[in-house]
Amino acid sequence: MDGFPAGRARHSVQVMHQVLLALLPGIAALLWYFGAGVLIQILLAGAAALGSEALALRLRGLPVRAGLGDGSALLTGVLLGIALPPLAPWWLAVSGGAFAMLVVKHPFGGLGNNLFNPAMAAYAMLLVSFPDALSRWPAPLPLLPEDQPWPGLLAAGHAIFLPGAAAIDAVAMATPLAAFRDNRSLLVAQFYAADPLFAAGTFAAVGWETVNLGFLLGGIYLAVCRTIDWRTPVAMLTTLGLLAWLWNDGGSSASAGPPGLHLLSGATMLGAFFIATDPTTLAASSSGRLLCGILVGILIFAIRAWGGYPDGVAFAVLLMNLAVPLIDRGTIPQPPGTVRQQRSRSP
Amino acid sequence: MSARRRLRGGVQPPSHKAASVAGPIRDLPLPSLLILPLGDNHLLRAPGSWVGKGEPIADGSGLPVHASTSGFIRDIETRAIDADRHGPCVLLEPDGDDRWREPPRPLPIATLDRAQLLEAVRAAGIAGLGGGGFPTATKLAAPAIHTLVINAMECEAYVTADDALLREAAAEVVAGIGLAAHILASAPRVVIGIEDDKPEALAALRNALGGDDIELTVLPARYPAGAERLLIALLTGLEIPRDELPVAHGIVCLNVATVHALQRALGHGEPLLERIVTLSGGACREPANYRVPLGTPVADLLAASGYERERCASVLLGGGMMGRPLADLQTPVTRSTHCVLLLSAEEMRPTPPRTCIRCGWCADVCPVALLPQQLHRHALAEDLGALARHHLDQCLGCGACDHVCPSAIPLTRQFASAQAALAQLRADRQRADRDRDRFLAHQQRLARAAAERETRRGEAHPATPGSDLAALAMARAAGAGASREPLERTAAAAADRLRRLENQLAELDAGASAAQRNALQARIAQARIDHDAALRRLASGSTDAGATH
Amino acid sequence: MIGAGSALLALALLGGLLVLVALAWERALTDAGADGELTIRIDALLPQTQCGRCGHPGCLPYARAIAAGEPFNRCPPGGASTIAALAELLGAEPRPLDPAHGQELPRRVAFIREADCIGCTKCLPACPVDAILGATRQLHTVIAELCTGCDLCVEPCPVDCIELIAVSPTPPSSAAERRPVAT
Repeated sequence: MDGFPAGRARHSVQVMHQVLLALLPGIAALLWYFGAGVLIQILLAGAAALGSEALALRLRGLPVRAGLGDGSALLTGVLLGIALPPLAPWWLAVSGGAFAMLVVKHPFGGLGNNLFNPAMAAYAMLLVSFPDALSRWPAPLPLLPEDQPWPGLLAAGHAIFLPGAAAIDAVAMATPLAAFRDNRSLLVAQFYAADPLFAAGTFAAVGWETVNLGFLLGGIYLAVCRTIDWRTPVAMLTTLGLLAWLWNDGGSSASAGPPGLHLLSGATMLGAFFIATDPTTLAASSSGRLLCGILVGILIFAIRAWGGYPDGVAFAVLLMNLAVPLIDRGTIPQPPGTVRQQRSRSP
Repeated sequence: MSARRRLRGGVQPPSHKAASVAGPIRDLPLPSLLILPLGDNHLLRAPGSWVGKGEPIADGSGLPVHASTSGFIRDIETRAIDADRHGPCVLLEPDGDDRWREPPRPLPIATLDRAQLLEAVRAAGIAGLGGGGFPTATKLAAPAIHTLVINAMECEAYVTADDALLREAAAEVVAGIGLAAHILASAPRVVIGIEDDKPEALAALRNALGGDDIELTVLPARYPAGAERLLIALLTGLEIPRDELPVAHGIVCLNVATVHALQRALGHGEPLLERIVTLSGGACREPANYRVPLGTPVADLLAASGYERERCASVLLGGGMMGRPLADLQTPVTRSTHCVLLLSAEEMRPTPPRTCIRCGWCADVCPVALLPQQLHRHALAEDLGALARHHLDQCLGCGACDHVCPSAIPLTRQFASAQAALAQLRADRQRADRDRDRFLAHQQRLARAAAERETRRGEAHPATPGSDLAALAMARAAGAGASREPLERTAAAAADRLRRLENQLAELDAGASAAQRNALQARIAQARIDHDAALRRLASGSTDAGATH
Repeated sequence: MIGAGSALLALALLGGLLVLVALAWERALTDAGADGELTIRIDALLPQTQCGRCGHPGCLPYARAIAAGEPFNRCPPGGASTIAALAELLGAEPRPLDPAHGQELPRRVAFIREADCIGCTKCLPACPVDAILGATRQLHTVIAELCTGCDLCVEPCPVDCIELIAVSPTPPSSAAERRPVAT
């Protein structure tokens, strides 16, 4: 026992639980629009992450129960499960969860020391390895044919665990970002009217906009609780929105997409509030965090507008992670009353 | 009027203040022994002699030490003087009479000049009672002070000593403020900073101030707004660098208890013999403020309040944020002891520290804009360069980061030891720089002397002004060895020395410790190397003068 | 997936570029404080004892020699920590101290046994930092605060009245270790 009065506000385990809680609105929206497969993916990835974490802790000779109890592995698994297409084959979630823990997190020193966000590194690995499986999302609920019911546990489980014999494939549909990308000839307004996803949507594509708003809601809760730093998401969303507005071209056929599309499609809100804000892989100072947000915003837009992938959140976050040591080095805040001195090697 | 800003960062810990300030300030029965840290002083009275209350018993380069009560000087012993230091202490055995040597008499303040007043303040042994312990006379001696800041911010958790003092003696505090301003003699603007969470003290202070020309600023209670430099910044907008004193910027900051002591000393003639100490904590049966004679062992203070060892998980010297666990309960109450906490197990940090997840809350609350999570990382890696780059030396040790850390990492404790290591490294560097300068000066002096000799001999060797004197010196140092005679002498001396050391080793009796033997063997090895080198140089007959350029 | 390959390539290029820029900056930031010449930077790492054990008359000459390629493990007063710092500066592998030049000892200062001193002044010029005070047929004394412990005054003394005594290193801040209350 150490002489140290208690009374600290929150425990690091509570932090993880709070983040999981904040994910619920987004998950609920995903579940409603894309079926029970979402739940299965989250459970699969979560279980794989927890199992691999236990294995890694055991191999490193660290206490397994305490390590699992901190909730960080579960959070990684859940984030990965959310990012995966709801009907993707089971081995994607499992290998992704294992990759996140065994390759991205523990070799770098485990909790608090990993250079890259484990969930996004795993997602990026899966995306470059299995691009087709990762881009096959089902149609959102309002666009399902009359005879197709909401994919329940049975139907989704069938598609996930027996990927060969899947009848659900028939309703697979391009994601809004991919659909917009493939548009070559129509004006934005024409495209919005012609594409079923956008025709049924309010701000952007139906389903996807609700999911993004769900994550936005949870993210605002976290920012208000000061669990995450508001600077990163605000900087990232502002940058992304601003760039989209600049390159919107007034909605011409060469438009890179209006701000609404970029802000409420793909993994934008999930990335802004739950991925880029991962403190372990984020810069330390306030100004550094602001810079990180701006960098991610620029990279997401660049990849979406000019890169080879419809969405770029995972790659943008990973590239930002790579720049963090440098950003940290250049953004040490100046304590009050001190004068900025010449950089010097000697202490 | 003034650039008043919000405190950067900071925390609002549960204050736990209400309990100890509910009742009046209590008096403590005289302890059976007083322990008075001697500091840099020498004893004025012989051990065994009787001293009256208020009589100086030690003086010197530090602040004078007074007898807190009448009694007999027993001895000087090394004792714990705070939570982590030991030092020589005078032991005073009270005789129970509490008799003044001569009854205190007010000083004729109006007839005394500034120097006399300052000497009176020093002689009364007054130092900062807020915890800093800086001699007050030194502060008041500063010239051209434009602002006198009075610190009534008691932001530390549990501590209510100043609160209690203001409730009971606000008039004396205000009189003390007037005295301080009078001694400063530069008609400074006076600002009092007080928190909004002690309305009774605030009302008492307002009442006592009356129509005085003193600004009273009520600030929101937020830890650590009462830290001297932070308070000055809040009240005046002036940021004082960590390595400079406020007086250098025309500001003197005094704690309310200190100005109260000033009034007791000058207005009543009583030197500083006692102070108010808050006794509180979950394991304390009767939280209260006590008027404690300086030198009272903490154990006596605990005994008076019904200390139950089983209930108490830790005794802290200091407040809830910065207090340090006390190992030795015989540690005395000194001028800077404002609080003793008896913590129950529930009030202690519950779990062992976990891994840092870099959440950054510590950086949000740091009042001096440090990045504790980065400091923690670099301290673990013992990377002193990175620690210096992250301004480790600016850390106040306030503990705000400890308080919010969700992983319960003892950050400030880690930073304190890293600060010590960094200070050591800097001292070594400074030392090396000084040695280098002195070496170059030495070489230049030799070069000058040689040049003078040359000119005296009348040889055509005009000294070229502005030439590389160090190089000249080096050439000379190298050249000195070139002649054979000094080399022979060197070799002979080295051989002689080696022989002597070997004899010493032979004479070393069996009882000598291994350490002694090893040390001697190391010196012999060194002497042998020197000897061999001397012989080599002698044999080659030349120096490595060429290799040095 | 049209363009997946080219996208990957672009990403890899972008990432690589970022790493390169980061490395370049890191280097630039690290080197910015180093003022000029290598010799001065080496000299800044040497302990400035000026003892000459390395075979050079002072630390600066040895710094010059190191800059010219001489081994950097010849400084006994600096010991392992100095060698490590030099290795880092020079981008070389640290090596153990060359025993031919002496052993690493704790910091020492010279002390003149006043009973034996004859006031010959022979030790005065030997001191590289002028830390010995004395005059002909007057008692000499070492200003301990200024002494580097170089050992050079021992040799010239005809009566061998100078010895080097170890100084206790500055105790680490007691704040570093706080004992909990025994309960």
